[in-house]
Amino acid sequence: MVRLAGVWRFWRRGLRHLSLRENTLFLLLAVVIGLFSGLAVVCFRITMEWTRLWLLGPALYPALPRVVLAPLLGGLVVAFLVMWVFPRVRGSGVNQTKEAVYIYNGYIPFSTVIGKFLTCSLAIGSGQSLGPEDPSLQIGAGLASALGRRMQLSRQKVRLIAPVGAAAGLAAAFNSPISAVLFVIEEVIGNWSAGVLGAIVLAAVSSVVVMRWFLGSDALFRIPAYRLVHPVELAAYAALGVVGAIASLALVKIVSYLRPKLKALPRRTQYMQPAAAGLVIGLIGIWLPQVMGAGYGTIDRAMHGRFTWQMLALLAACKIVTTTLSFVSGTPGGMFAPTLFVGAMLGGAVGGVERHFFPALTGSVGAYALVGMGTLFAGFLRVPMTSVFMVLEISGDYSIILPVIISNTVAYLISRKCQRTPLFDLLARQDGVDLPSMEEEREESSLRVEDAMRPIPSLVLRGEETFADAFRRVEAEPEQYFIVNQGIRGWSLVTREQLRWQASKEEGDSRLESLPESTRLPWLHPDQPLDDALCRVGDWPALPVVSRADFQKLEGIVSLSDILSAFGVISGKAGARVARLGSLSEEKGRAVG
Amino acid sequence: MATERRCAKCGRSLPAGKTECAACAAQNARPALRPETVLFLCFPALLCFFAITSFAVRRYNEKQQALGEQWFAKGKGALGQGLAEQAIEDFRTALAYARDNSEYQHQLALALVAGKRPDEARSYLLSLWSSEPESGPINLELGRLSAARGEVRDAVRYYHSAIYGQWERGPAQRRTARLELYQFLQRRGAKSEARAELMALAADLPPDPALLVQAGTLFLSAGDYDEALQEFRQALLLDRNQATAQAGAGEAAFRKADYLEARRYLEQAVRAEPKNATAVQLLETTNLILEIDPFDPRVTAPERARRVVRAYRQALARLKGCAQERPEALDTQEPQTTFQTVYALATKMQRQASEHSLSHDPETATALVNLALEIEEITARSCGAPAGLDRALLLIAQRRGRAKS
Repeated sequence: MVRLAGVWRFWRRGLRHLSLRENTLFLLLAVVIGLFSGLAVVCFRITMEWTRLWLLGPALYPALPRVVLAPLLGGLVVAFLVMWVFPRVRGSGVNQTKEAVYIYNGYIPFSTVIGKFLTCSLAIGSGQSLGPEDPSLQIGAGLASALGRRMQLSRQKVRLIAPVGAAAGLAAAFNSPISAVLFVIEEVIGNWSAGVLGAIVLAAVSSVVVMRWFLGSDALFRIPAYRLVHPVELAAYAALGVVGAIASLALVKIVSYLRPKLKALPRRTQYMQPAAAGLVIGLIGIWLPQVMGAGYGTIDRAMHGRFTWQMLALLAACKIVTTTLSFVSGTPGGMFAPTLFVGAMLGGAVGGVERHFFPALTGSVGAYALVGMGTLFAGFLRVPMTSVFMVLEISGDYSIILPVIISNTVAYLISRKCQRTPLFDLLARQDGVDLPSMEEEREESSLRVEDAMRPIPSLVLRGEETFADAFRRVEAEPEQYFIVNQGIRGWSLVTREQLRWQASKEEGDSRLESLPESTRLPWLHPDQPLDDALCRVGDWPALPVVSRADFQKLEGIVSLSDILSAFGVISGKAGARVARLGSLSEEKGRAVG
Repeated sequence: MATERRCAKCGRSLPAGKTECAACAAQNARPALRPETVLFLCFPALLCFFAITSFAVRRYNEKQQALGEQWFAKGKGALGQGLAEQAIEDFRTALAYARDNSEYQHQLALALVAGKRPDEARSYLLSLWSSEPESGPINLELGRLSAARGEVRDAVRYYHSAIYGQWERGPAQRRTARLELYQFLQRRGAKSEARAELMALAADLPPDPALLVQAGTLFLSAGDYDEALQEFRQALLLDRNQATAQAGAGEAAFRKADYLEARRYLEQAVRAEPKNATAVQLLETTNLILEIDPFDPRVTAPERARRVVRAYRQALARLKGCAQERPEALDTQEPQTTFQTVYALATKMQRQASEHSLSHDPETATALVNLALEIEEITARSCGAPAGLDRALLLIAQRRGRAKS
């Protein structure tokens, strides 16, 4: 006890000495979150496996009573838990994490973590066709939220702590830190700011270290060796991208159609929906037990040429059915693993068909299955960067990158063309929640200064000129203010009144370079975001836009009315008010002179 | 209709007149721990969590291992009983619990081969090979699969890797691999490559009579009689009474046309194994050859003459018999066919075919025996392989022909 007190005193003195700033504390906390998330995900995986062993038995393909009864009874218990005990565990976990970030200031109740852990272990372990990755993401986010709230972080940091935990949870689930980081950035927070990126990376790495400590560092799948013999083969993978896009669209349409229909049914039916889904899955599982659960073992076998292409296509189709049933019935669980499953089966089927008609193709079925996983990830979940790196990480083979990029890009573009709203955004809107769409934000074109600036004025004064000379030059000009090039000292603003007044006095021969510092203008560059111009223009009537290579080289000018016009804000009366504001700025300039 | 109000912090429904829910209010009312305290408490919490997870993982791993072993044992049993399909499923189940167990993967590959699924087997073996490229067993299986697919280059590569790879019981398994490679090359007609492998195999043999006999037999079937005889002799040096070696040596010597040596070995072989039909037949033929060979340098002139006459009479009878089979008339005024020509010549020389005259006329004896041997060759081509004394004469003729060339 005395020793503990001594350690505690040492700890407090040490922290005070270090005087941790919030940012530093945040990074340290990210490591701790990563460790907790890694441990939680390891326990989650093991609990899921024990549940599967207990309910479905040790055989690879469960015996008849179990294969039907396990998902049925598991669905009943899960429904009860979701309806009565843990109402916030429905769904995959991705949107729920985003809700925490954008609506609830990073708050995820710890009960949600417990509930997600229990219900998903039971659901997936009993054979429901869902995956553990999305729940792991939410578990990590929940742990992070709980810790962050206790650490008295600022509101902004608490809001950002959930994505840190999400990345940690997902990284441990996939055993792939890069993919997890990219997914959180691509889908959850949508930006790359240095502060949050560092924390996310630290958390992801910490959780993966823990995961690998306990469960090994092997890749998720054993991939047969791959070698691209001829670039023409890439066309085969492009064809896979087309097929993958069609499958993605089909899955999105079915899920988005059925989910609101089932949710609209009377509440009492929601107790039975997971069980009904489980019953159907069990019946399908009598002939195709491969579609039950996450399905990683089946993916592995598909990569080793275990199935004919007909069987692979059948498995893909049935998995779409079973995953849809599980998900739309409200059973908690993720979509990542089923996406990989459908993609692998579809990829293998397409590869089998292509090799049948074009025997010269050298890519193995396993290679097509691997690429297919990434293709579905890009087309269905609409995370193109994550899908590429995920395939690289889980295969550990860089030589597959060209086919992956081509197939993923084709699938993504087709999917985006035919289905504007990505799946997660669609689900959120069905739930009545308006979450920001990262994809839409990425696609928005941001305005720049060059979109608003006007050409260089006809008359630009120079600092070497005298007031008298300058006044003579401006007499015939209609403008009331003029930009002055002060050489290495930058740019200034001078009004007509100032010039007249100075020219009329004895200081008429003094030069424009004697203008006070208060007349110095901040300048802009053409490629800068227009938001920057709005922040800087202030009361100035206009600002110079200069070249990045030479700040003395004027490329145009921009005023507040130009900026607001570019944003599409002003028109008519509003434009007149802004023009009056501009004249007030001129008066300010005169006052400064 | 009043809109439902929710807590800004946690989203729970708010009672009327409240700005935060009861749970958040209770939380706010609690004295907040300092960040340093929270961080400090994280470490023991992590340690506890770590300990719990370690325990859970250990139990899980033990269970996985036990299940893997259980299914692996079932699979081996099924494979041993020839139930390949059952074995495949059992091994797959075992692999589900021990994914990286190379022994399980290897056995699964063997079961897939037994179940006539070479493509799947190859896929698993290639995965294993990528992590264990020097493994003898894996390379051997891949060699077998490549050989079955007719991929000569791959087969040779894998077999060589197996031969020089890592094995538990090295020499014996390497010999097996090389032997299989030899047999594969023989089947593909790559005689010189096959011989090279056989030579390497023989060079590497331990002093084991059975292995030496096996090598000798292979050389014999490959037509390399010198090497075969050498192997059999070595085997006999280690075990004088090795009947198979005796028979093999006898046959090798016989094929080499060294009939004296052949008789020595064949007599031993027949004494040891009287029911060895091949040895018995070869011995009979050898004895006949030694009886009738007119070119044997040890015989006296009268004995040579006697043999020549006997050979001549035997050949003439053979000619007549063969002509009857065809059928073809031999006795004509003007011989047209080969048969008629040699018959006319033989008839012409009949008067000279007496032991007394031939013992003093070696040139005629030589001409007569040459004629006899020629008759045997011609009749063998037309009427098939002869037996008995005719066969002996034919072999003498062939030996003589090889000697001339």
